[in-house]
Amino acid sequence: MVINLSHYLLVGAILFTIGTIGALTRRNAIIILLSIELMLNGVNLSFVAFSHFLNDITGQVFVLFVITIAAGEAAVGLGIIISMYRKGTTINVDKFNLLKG
Amino acid sequence: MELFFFLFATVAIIAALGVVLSKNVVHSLLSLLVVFFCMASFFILLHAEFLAAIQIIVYAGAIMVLFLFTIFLVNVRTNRVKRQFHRQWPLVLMFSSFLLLEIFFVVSKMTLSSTIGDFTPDRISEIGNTTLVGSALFTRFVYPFELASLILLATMIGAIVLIKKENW
Repeated sequence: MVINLSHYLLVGAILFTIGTIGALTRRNAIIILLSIELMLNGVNLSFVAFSHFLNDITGQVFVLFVITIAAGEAAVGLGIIISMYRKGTTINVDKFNLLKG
Repeated sequence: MELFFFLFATVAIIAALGVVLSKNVVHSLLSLLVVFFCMASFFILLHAEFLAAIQIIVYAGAIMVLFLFTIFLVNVRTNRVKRQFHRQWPLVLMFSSFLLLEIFFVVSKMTLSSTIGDFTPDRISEIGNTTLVGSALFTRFVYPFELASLILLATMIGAIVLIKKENW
């Protein structure tokens, strides 16, 4: 059995879907951020698989940018979580309704 | 090669389920670390050695430590929380499985007619993966590269302003 592009894409899709489920169903804000990192990793795997099977280097450069943005996103997201915790001493996202009119 | 692919795929999917399903945040974090190492192994199988090193250094090194420090700061006893999931989780499960089926369908119908570049694995190992990624980054993608540095500056300022004491 030869491993081709579809196998890598399917693993990436499964990781992305598990990340989606985690981001939409968990109440803990930290685990929501972890699930978003999981989704980004699934996409990264697809990028690198396409880059390898199309003999083109561009996908790997894009993965580098995705990792950069993921680092920034984690920093800002964790900052938001810390200020949420200072405000309400909980990080369960359904306890926060500051924008509710 | 095939054996390693299926091994890493199984471990990655089980660890990803562990991220979503475990009650303790630290256990989720350690499962995510396993996923990151599996991703680095996939990158090595796909001849992207530079990205494998970056994955370990940035994700497993920097981002994980950031998450761990936040968990230490926040110190919520998450495993005492009775309800870990939102009430609408069956709906989310339904739509996510639909999304997964959709992707499976598209991937099964997909055919790659030809390759678009000329960087075959032999040529990449001859020149060097890091050299190729670096030269692409500093010639063709130099404006996105500068933009990424601007975004990093903006997130740095944003994170500092967010957790300043005077805000609250």
